[in-house]
Amino acid sequence: MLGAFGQAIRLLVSGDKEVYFIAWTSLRLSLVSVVIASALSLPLGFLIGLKSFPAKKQLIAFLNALMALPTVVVGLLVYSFISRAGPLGFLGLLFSPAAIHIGQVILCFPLITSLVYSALSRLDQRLPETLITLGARPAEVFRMIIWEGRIAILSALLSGFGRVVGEVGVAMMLGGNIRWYTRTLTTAIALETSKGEFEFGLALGIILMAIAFLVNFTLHGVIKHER
Amino acid sequence: MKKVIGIALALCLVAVLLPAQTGRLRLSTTTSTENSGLLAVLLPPFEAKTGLKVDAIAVGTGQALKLGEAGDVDVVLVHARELEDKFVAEGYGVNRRDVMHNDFIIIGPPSDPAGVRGMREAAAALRRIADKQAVFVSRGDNSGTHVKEQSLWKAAGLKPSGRWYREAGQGMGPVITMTNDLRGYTLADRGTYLSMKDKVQLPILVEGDPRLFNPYGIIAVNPDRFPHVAYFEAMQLIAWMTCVEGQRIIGEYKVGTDVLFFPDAVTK
Amino acid sequence: MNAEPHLQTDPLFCVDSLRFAYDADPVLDLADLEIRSGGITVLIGPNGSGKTTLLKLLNGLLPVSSGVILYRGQPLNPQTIAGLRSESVLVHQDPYLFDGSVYGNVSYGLKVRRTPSEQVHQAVAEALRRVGLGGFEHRRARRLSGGERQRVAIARALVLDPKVLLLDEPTANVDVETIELLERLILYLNEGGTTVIVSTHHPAFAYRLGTRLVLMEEGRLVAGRENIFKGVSESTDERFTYFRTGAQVLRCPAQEGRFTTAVLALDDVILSKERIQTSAQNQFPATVRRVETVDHTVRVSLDCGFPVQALITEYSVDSLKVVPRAEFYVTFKASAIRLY
Repeated sequence: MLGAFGQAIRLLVSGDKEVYFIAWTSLRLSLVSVVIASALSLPLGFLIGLKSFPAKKQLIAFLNALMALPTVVVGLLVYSFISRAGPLGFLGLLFSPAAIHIGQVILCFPLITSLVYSALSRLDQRLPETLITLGARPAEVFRMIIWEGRIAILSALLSGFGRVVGEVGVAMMLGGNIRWYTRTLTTAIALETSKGEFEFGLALGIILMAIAFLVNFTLHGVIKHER
Repeated sequence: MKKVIGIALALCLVAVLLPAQTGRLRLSTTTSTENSGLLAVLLPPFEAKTGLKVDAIAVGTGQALKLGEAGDVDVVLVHARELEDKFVAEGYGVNRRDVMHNDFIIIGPPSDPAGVRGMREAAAALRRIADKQAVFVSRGDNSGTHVKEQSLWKAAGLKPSGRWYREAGQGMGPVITMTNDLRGYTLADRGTYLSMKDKVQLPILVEGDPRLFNPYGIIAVNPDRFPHVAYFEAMQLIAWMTCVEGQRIIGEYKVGTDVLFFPDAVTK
Repeated sequence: MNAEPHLQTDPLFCVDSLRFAYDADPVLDLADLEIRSGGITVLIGPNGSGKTTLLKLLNGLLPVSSGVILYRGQPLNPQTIAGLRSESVLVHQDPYLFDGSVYGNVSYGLKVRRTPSEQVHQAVAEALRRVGLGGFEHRRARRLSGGERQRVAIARALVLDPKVLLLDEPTANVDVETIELLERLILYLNEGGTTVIVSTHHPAFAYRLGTRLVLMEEGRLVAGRENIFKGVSESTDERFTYFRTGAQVLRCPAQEGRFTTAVLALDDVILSKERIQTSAQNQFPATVRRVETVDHTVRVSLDCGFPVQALITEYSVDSLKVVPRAEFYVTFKASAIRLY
């Protein structure tokens, strides 16, 4: 185990170009996927958390079901759509970062939505009422609720990030683990493990954890500073 | 605040859409080919020469061919002759060429409970393993190795079954690791074995039988069937793999001190 | 109980058959209610009587699904609500303050209206001064005491110069000093023309401030059973405090202090055709203005130099022939009067 730590440090310090590129790919893909997912999740989470509408219960059940899907299954489902043999094949998306984004967004969007609406259902009713009585319009109310609830929302986003940065099913199936292109830390770990290079795989895993930790730490710091 | 979100979203859209799909050639191949490390030396000179980027997608043989059948890749490099012939016959591939060969070997525990060491006939060795009910790990995944293994059982005149016969459903590397843990026997391709030799205690027990011959073929995906495939570029790769320089690189590739592959194209 | 409105203006709010329920839980059932502009209307009642719900409905924070609320003659709907919003603000009981500075809180409404920052600075400073928090701009709003937070919320509303101010239980959970400040503030605002609707269950606060009291119980309006006389205490000797209201002076239990409100239960008012020899210290000739019967109880409104109401039985109405313009004497004890 210690050997793996040592190897992880050596890889980082030596500035191994490939390892850095793989780590950057993991980070970049996951962050962008979370941002895209939140563009969908925040408004939807708001809708569910604050308003009632027909079929609301069914929508919540559907989101929960999506979260229970293993990443490989999500990968398979998207694959069947974007493969050339599938209905969206003409877009030529398979085995590209865009394909990984599609899969990752599907993975983290229900999680982020669910966390957002659960935070909102605990929202102090006095906040929207105060905003409205002071003359705020709906868009402004939305903005202020996000701002006042930014800690909970940040947690939701970080959970979403955690889910996608550490998953391998979607990245492998939709990205193809192509060297210098769609190889991420997780698919690289899978590859090294399949070659029996356990220590190297573990070292990459340590780097992955370090990245996740750094992202959490940085974003929490930024939010705290805002106060 | 709105501005920040707007900019972030715009950057994301750019990040997603930008990585260009043009100038990329998609090659599906097997995990054992990838794991051997050959592509890492064979492809870069090709990319430099042509300016193309080769996306090598390493999966099991079955899946590699399926990718070709769906038109998801432009060219296929596998080692399962019967499946390759079927692929071409059914109109999915064109211009098949022999590229190289390596061979399969039977590896097993140093104690060799079935006593197959040194045997010249692979099928006979397998029969002995079955008789002794010694642990045998199979790929179980329709890969080239698996197809070869099944043809050997057929030649031995039996269908392996029972607790001793473990169908792993995984790639060559994991199967070798599993075989090592279980102190069993398995059929492996020499390339993967050599790259893992130091990590396991599984000496080569049977080799050299012509039946263990493992030829590799490269096939372009049929442009008539899939107009979008990069056919021209695929043919360039086939040319590279079968030309004198490409074949030289193949023949000189070593893992440690061992040569893995034997070029077949130019010599034929 | 209703002080005769000395401000003759059209009703600001008109509530008719208003019912409201949270999910399946009925909370409000108001037959009809009018609130005129320019006064201080006090909603008084125990917890759960619906005061907060009514205030929220009057500010358009809850939707009207059963019944009608008219604001300046128009029913409240998405189009008219904008007009309401621009002139009326509600302050919650235990208000929600935004994370940040007092300045950030108080200036919020003006920022939403895109007021230029010069004006905002001045308006905020002025509003904070009014609530006794001058110089508090940079303090962290959420770290203030209960009374200070209440005042920040009120400043946040004042800064918008609303025509109608709705305050939900501003006297709950605050110190005496804040209550006094609130009284002075509300009186000051009212003099400036702001209509104030405030709910409370602090009786002294209600009596002193309200030009009109609305009693609520379990979501319904309840007829008041007290007379409320506005006036001023003029002098005190060992026996009595003398309270002038309208054209008369009432004799009340002797006590120190300056009082502006005298309260007398309807039950303590006795009607007689003739002067009576009595230990009660207050007796005045009166003319009947109105006679109303509700549930076999008769409420008689009379004018004896000031408006007063009494409750009598239907039998008495017949035997004494209590009709408008009839002349009687009203009698009540000094000790029956509470001064605020």
